[in-house]
Amino acid sequence: MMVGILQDDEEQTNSLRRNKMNKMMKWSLAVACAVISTGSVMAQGDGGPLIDALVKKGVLSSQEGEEIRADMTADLAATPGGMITWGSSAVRGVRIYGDARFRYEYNSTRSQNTAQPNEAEDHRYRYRLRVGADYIFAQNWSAGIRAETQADSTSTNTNLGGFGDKTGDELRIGLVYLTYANTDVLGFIDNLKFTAGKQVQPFYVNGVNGFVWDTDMNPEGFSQDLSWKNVATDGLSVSLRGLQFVTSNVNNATPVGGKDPADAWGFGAQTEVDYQWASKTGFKIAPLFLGFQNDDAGAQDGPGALRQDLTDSYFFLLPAEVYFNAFGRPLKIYGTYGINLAGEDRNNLQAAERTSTAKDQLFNAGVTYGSARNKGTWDVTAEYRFVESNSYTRNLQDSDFNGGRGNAHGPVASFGYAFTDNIQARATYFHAMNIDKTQAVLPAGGNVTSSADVLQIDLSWRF
Amino acid sequence: MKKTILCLFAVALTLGSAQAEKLVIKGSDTLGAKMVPQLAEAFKAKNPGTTFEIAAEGSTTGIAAITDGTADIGMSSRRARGSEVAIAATKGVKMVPTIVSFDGMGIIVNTGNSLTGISKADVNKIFTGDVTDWSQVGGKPGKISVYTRNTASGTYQDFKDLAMNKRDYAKAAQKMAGNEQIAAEVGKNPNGIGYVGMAYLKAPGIKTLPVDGSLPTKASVQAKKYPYARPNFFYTNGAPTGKTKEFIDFLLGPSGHIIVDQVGFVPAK
Repeated sequence: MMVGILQDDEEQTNSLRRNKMNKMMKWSLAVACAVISTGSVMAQGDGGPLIDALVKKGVLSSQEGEEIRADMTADLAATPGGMITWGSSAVRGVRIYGDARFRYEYNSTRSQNTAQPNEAEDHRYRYRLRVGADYIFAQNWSAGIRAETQADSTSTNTNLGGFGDKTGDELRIGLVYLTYANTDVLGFIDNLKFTAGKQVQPFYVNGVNGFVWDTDMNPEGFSQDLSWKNVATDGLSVSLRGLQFVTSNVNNATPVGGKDPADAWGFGAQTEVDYQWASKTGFKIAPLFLGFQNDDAGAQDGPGALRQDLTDSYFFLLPAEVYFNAFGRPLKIYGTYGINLAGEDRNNLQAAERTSTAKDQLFNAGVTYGSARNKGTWDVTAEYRFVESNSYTRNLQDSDFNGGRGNAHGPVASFGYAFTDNIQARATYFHAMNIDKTQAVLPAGGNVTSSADVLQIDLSWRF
Repeated sequence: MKKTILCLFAVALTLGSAQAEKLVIKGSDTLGAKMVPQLAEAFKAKNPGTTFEIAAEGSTTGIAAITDGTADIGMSSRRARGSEVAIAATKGVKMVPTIVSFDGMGIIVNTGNSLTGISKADVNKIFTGDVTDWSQVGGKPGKISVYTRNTASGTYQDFKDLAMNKRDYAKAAQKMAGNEQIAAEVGKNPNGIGYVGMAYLKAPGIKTLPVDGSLPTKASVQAKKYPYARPNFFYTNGAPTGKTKEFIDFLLGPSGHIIVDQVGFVPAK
């Protein structure tokens, strides 16, 4: 009897030992298979499909599978990547990005006003930082934010110096927007995109730094983009774009000069036609209309030039380009013609500086060869610009060419080289000269230089 | 004498209250509407003094309750997400799952619907909104009314994972609070379609469509042949102990299996 009991005890112990060994073997097998098959336990997350397969084949019981899955999930949650959770379950994807740039800049201006020093030189050491994130939500929605250095609307550069102090090194909100995008809308719109907020400007423009729309200037308002591909023939795309953006936000409760002030808005509309008849070969033309509703009696809170540049201003711009490959590299020939449809009125406003003609036209013409995008590649650009004094607005024009002012013409050249896929060096030179040397000095915000040179040497990287 | 009786009475009261124990169970409507209350009643009959507080407001609430420490058991008809496990870990909570049953999500339509079966591809298209009329899937013309669970529901998430390739529900889909509500709406609407757990397939006015020839039955779920079968969980903070363990052991034992089967779920082995 005693022997039987002892034998039973021994068998029970051995059975428990066998069960424990089997369980350990199953766990080891499951984890090993997960590591081998997926290459990374953490990448797989909870090893779901593999564990499902092992349960289905009877290697693991359902409960064993769940316990392994829970342990793997808990392990992943303990990793730096696993610790990240989002504030909303609607977030489907996130792209975090940014770029930084160090710049040496040489400025030389020669004054038209002989009462002032004739030539001024400035050497500046600058940097910029932009960091942002794009969020993808469910059901066609997305959003973006970006912080940038510098408070100016047409610059993101801030100066080094101050013995390392941080004054002027603030990050400010450059972008904050919400987008709805969809395809095949109402059965006839191929692509549709609505954006609200502080956003990247939606129009096609060309030239170094965007010429007629400084690349650092982000409008604040609403934009719409409707596009169609292969319209009537393969390779022909048509896009319609609209933009409504606030330029001045006044205190509507406080009358100024007996009038109720109103907020000021800008409006834009563009039609782009892009015909590509072969791979990376085609032409593009995109007439653009910009108008500004400006309350000239209100207390504008924009820069002083705003009122003078934009009072009753309506601009018509016609950017276009031809692009193709030459000797294995992309070649682009581009140009823009523009006219201020209210240039005559602006000319008449300037009692002291009224000229015999409206001086309301601008244009650029240039060529870019190559693309400094990937490691070891380069690009070179040569451009000529012509901007009459009443043709445009300093609030949008590239601020590096003659400080964004009119009555200037001259060449722009740029050369860029990519050391790696994300690190690039660039040298850019602007030379602006007066178009009309007899035109006297304009009011505050006008053109006070007879010529201006800017040389920029940049080292930038993306992440 | 009186003093002695009073003392004995006080001791008895103290002992009695010490033995009375409350189990707080929160989470899945799929489990909490019928199965868990019936199991609780059966457990109470064998364990007098045990009381239950059961709240069935969706699997997400059950998992959150374990994280917050406001429940002993979190019922869930879906697995806890990595983010939920991570948040629990920051509060020192270890989410431990116990499979308590299996369930198959049946595709239900009104008894007046002419369809006699449906493919997985068509289920995907209907619930994502790619298809909006019954004529597009071989039925009589009519605008399809899609009924789903709300976003707090584990069934909502499981169905998205198993039947919709994780795509989003159709914009026109109508969200309902529970299985019974979905069954009721489909039963009234000749163009309605929805999904419910096996325990709700016998509601009046509805019929279950075979998916690629397979109906949700105990055999097809156990054999892992039905495509929309999933485990149901009790989550606890760490391995179950005390009264919680006793209740789970009861559920997984022979008495519990009978009740689980009677309600319409598939017992866990």
